[in-house]
Amino acid sequence: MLTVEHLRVREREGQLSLPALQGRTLQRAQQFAEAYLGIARRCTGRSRAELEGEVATVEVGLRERPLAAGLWKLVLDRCRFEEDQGIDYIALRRRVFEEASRRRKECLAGGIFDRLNVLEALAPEFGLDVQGLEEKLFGDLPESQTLLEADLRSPAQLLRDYEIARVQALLLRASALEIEWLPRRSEETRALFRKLKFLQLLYRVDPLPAGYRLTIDGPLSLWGPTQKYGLRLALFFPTLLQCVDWRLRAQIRFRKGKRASTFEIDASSLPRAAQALDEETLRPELTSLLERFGDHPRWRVERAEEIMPLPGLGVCVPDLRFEDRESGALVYAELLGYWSRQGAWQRVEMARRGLPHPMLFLLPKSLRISEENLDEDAAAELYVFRQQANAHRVAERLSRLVEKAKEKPRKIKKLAR
Amino acid sequence: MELEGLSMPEALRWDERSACFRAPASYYPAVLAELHRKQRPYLDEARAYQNLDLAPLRGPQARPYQQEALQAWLEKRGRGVVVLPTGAGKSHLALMAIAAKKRSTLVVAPTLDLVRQWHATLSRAFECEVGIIGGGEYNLQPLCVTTYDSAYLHMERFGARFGMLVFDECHHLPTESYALAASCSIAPFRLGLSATPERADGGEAAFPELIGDIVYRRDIVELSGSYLAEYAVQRIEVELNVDERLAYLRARECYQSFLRREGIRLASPSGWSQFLSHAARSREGREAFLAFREQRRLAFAASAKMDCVEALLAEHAGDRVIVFTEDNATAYAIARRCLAPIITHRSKIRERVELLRDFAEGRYGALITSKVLNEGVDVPSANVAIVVSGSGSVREHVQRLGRILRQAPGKRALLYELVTLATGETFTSERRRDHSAYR
Repeated sequence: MLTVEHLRVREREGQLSLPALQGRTLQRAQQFAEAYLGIARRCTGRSRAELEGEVATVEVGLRERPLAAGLWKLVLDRCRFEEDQGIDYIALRRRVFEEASRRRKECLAGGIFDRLNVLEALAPEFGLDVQGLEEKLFGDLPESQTLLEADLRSPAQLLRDYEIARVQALLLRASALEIEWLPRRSEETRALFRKLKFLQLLYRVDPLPAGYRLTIDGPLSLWGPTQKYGLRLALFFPTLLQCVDWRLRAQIRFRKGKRASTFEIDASSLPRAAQALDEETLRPELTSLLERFGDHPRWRVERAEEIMPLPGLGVCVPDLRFEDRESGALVYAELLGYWSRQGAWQRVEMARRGLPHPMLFLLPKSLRISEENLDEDAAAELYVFRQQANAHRVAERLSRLVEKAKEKPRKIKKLAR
Repeated sequence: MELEGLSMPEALRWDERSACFRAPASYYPAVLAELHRKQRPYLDEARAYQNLDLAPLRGPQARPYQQEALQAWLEKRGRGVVVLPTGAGKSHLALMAIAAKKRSTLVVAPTLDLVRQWHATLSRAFECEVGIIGGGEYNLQPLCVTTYDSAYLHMERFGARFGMLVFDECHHLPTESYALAASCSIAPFRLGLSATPERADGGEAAFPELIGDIVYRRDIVELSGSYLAEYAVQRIEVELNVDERLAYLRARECYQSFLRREGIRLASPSGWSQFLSHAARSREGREAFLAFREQRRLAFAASAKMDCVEALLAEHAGDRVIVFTEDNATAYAIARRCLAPIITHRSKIRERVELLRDFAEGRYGALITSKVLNEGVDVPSANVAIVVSGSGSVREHVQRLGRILRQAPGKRALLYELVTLATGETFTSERRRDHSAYR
């Protein structure tokens, strides 16, 4: 990832923008990309210091320095370096330094300490000559490491990575994001909300005439803008990039002690990611639940794919889908985050109004919401757990929900409308 | 929560997202105090820290000023900063405070070396398992040590699990990010420790809110000879050789003529940022900036200084010498030339631990470092410091002196400061010596 040191920005009347890569700048960017990728290819098997030496020969103008440094950083991020595994450098240094210290003390009684004598005495122990020993003395420092392999992109791909990476670098200094987004594919919705949940960001969803407005920040934002969530906001950005129709507005304090400026970008500014939408990692509570239900005699469990838009209440994005092996009945489960108390009350309201499928909401005890908040005949259940959801208790509730659905199928369908 | 008739902190606000009133965790004691005062019933689901059943504190008997400092801190309801010189026993004072309050305690230290040192100190003193968070470890225990970085990252999650915080070298705390480590914790008891609490940006003004007021203070000169080792400071002036002098003059003329042309005064408050900004706008500016760095390098790492370090290491071969530099490149150059062990931020944790241990035990007579050993690291046997180069910071210079002041029988500490004559370093040296310890 790039940092703000790799950026050139324009700040005017409270608006922040990144200069477009076009014309002469684009031409120079292509030249840098080709030069740096060429160096990385040529230098496989050589030291990092040699690599950096080659890079220093590429002529870079003053104003081009952030662009060049950013591109080189992205190339370096795809390089794998390693020190010589055959040598225990710490042991080698210990031996040299101990011997030097001993000889220096001996000289207190008379004589002159001579470093060459120390090196000549020790070099044969390591199968080296004096020069070799000197070279290996700090051979594990980064500049001495060898470039093993480089998983390199094409110059065009590198430029595209750079355009995304510099937006992420800017978002590192963001305190909140506001996104207007029109879902075009159900996978988009799942990917966005899963990523938000995984990064433990707080979000509010407000319906717009077309699409939704997502306001994203963190718990500490209540007392003023904080950049504590900048990294998470930056990590969220590539997922947004996989959506078709969006506009992002961020409040960014680019320089310390200065007021925040607004940065805006939309889907037309950057090419959409060609790759499939990410399959995000589940939160650990859900992973362990998935494992414990792995060979359950009654329930087959998998990650939920469905999205449940609820008019006037936003969207419900279940995490897990449980299927009764015998009857084929489905129950969905959603884990609420530590800070999502409002979200939890929203789910209670959803369940009271009706849900398209039976739902089990898993609530951490810290949310301070009682299971009794839902009536016996509601199409959902709340399960409050302390640290980890208990598989046995989850199974009990799933069975209860299926029984309820059998008893009052009409109610669930009616409510679903 | 029923708030009518209660005088709650201004920071308490309604949060739509969580549908409740919220205040920063650090307001927990104030909210509870108000509820008690108004005798309102309440359910406390925030507190997750424990009362500890600690073994009686072992170790040396407390010195009178440590007792006074503890008393002053207790009188301020267990909140406040204690300022004592390095080697005066700040860690022991913290142990006394932890033993007095007996609450789950998190010690926050600036470096991994200090985290290791605190871990050993707490384990030895209280004979219980002590947790570490940071440097790749995550072992949360009621008695725990972490770095400022990890505290900032994780306090949102474990801020309710500690009733007491100890901020070692607490002058690091008042920054925008690290301060969150204090405000995200509910701990009612907070102790800040520092030898040099004042910051160049005036950040110490935030102590009352983050930790508490400065409740006790003693200076190096007050304790020298009685509780700290006696010490002497010797300034050694060296000269650039002919080639270095010519290169120095060329570089100095290059950047100074640029400053004159652009009308920039480096001594003015905005001088440095003006220089950086102007330097980025033209080729001459870039050359001027490189020339500035070159003349600084020549002064900091003059070849006469290298000769001098070699001679001093030979003279003090029977002592325990720490060599400080401003930058890593000079530190590695000395380590290569003198074949002496070195610790920088690049050193692996295993090697750092071994080197510090072996240096303390006398296996090595010298240890080279740039800045990572400036603070806190406790090697009582170290008795000679050589400052090859450094910044103009008084705090840095006092901290470096502090490394050799721990008392030991018959110990007399000696600090050498190497300064290259007729260079900008002479002014840097004057600035950093502006402290009672150097008068």
